[in-house]
Amino acid sequence: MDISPISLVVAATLLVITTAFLRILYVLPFSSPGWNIKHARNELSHMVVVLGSGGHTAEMMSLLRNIDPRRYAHRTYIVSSGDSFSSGKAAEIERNVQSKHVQFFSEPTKAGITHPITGTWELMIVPRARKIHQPLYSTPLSSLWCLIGCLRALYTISRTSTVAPHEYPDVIITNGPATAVMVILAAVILKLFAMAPAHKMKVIYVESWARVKTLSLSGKILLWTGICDTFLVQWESLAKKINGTGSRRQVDWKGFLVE
Amino acid sequence: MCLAIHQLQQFGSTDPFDSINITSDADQLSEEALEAIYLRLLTACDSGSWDTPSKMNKVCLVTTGATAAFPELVKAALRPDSLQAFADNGFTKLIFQCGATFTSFNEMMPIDLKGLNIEAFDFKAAGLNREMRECQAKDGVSKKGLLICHAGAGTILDGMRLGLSLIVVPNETLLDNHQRELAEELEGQGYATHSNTKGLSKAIEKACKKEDRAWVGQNASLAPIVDAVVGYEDDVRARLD
Repeated sequence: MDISPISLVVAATLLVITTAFLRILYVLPFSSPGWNIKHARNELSHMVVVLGSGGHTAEMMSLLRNIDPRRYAHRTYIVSSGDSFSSGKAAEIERNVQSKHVQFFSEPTKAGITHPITGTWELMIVPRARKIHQPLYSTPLSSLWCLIGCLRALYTISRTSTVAPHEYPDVIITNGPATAVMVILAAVILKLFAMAPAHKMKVIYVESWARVKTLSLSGKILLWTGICDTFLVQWESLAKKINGTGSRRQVDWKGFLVE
Repeated sequence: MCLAIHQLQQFGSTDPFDSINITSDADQLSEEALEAIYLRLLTACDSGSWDTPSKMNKVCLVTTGATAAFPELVKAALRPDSLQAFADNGFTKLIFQCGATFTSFNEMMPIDLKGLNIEAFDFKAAGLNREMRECQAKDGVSKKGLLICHAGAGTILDGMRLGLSLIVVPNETLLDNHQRELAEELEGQGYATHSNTKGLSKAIEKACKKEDRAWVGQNASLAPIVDAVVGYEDDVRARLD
């Protein structure tokens, strides 16, 4: 029997598509709730927080108020280049987080320094997905550049992880700047190509407190793609509107998370 | 005695008591003066005004935010009916953070200020923390004041954290209407008073009469949610038990 090159190509394409589809099903959170691995109480974790633009960063500071730095002993803050406000805020978040667990606290540790109780923290800078007033036609290119930057950033912090060297972070927390979508996309790509195990880099998205009846653009994208492990909104009305009456719960509501 | 004299000094300047020359040394006071002090103390205690002297500060901060100009809000707060509402509700001072509108602030200033102190600036690089604290209730110094703000989430949260009465006036000229939704929902749940620029004087009356729902200490925390997602199940279970 003769096999024409066309049918070969078609067969190969089908195979690739099927494999990719199965891989996506396998990796993404909506189909694999069984990926929860258990951590012992005293195990350490590596946490990534994506910061961006004034309002989001101020809210993040409040969201992280009770995070235990003794458990999340390595904390990485990702900011986009040129956002000096958020870079400064990372240190302020650290002051907030560390001060509750250190006796006679005066100053938070500098980035990259390891403290016996509160562990270490660092700042990673990735290129901007879109600059203000950037023409639309060049946005795909700069977004791709940003995505590559995010992939590199995640790879770098996995290598230098003080919790478990060469292991990817345990959790990514964000509340909606454009950079966050890119970081989360990068994390999913790493999982799809088996660079990172599926139980690493769990994604927690918290919609801004200012969003009462509609999601932000980042929120819409992330909900539609279904790549977040936990998608939280802070208003019951918004949760009800999204979840509807269906049995499948898309977003969680646990009350206000900011204070 | 000296303390009592000091307390009395805080009463209004219209008080006839002010005509007595007060010195820090009680021995130098004449008998008439001492008697006057005694009587004044008695009436103050009886009328209950001892705890809340009539001339305590009451401050209102009006803020338009840093991103977009909001001249309508500044104008609305300076309208005669709004100023009357401030005066009627015992306010002593208004602080305006008016952003780009500051350049035309002097033209907006009305002639009759109804006895209110007015302070204005465009931006504060350090934020509005100091101004907001001025609106807080402090024993013997100030009564609980008011924050009138555009519907920026950051400002609203700051105000609620400090326990200030809050009037939220969304900037209707902005395209994004999620700020109005926030203001409506906050009013609906009793955390703030929602107003537009037209109805500001009524909103001032309303906000001063009602007690806003407490914000601090009522809220959920993200930390246990993160723990559960990462897989620290023991902790979650321990907390439930």
